[in-house]
Amino acid sequence: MSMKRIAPHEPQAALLSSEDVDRDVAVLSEALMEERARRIAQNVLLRPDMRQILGDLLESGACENEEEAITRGLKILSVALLPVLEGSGKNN
Amino acid sequence: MAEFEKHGAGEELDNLIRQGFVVLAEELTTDEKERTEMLAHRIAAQPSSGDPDHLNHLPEAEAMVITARSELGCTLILLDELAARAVAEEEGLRITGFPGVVGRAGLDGSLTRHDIRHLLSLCQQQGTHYSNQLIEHVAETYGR
Repeated sequence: MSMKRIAPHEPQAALLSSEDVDRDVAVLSEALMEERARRIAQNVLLRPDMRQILGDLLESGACENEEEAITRGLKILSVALLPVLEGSGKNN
Repeated sequence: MAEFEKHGAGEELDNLIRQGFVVLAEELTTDEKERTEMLAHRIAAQPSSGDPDHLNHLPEAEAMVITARSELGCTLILLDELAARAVAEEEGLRITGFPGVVGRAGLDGSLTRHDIRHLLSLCQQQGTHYSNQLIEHVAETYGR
């Protein structure tokens, strides 16, 4: 069944270019990544046990702020798991 | 709503509102209405605007004003019209367009090349100004 074609309702509107769309996809991807990061951070930081650990780390002076604590924690975890990661070929 | 009706998406939008995926913004305040008028004039005056009547640019201007409401936490505005995009950019808004959303869905593996061609051609048939070349680019670049 063929669909009825109707005249453009904005006949004088300038067309989007391929470059515009490529930029739009990149902007949207970045926004989605930011939203995901916000959600993950919120889920982690709202957990009482994580808040307690972060509070203890900051109070001890081992880390200056929450971001540093999380970053260092992930780096330490990746070093600790290095043999496993190398074994699975994920760290080549 | 009139803009969505014009794009043939009125019924779909009604469904999304009922399902809670789309939130309706409250009516514009007096200040917001003034700002909308001003933005519509700026869109109409853009070199890429083929329509000098600012009244025909009110829907896009209204979308920009609503996007700026802090309580909504909008991070992106979806605009396809180049003149409106130029003004939104001047306003510091982050922009994407419908073909960009379709392209991203293709990257996510949700849409095939065929799906993308079908969706964008459907918009074209409904009167949205996408070139055949653009549709092919999005399908080939982003479709799985």
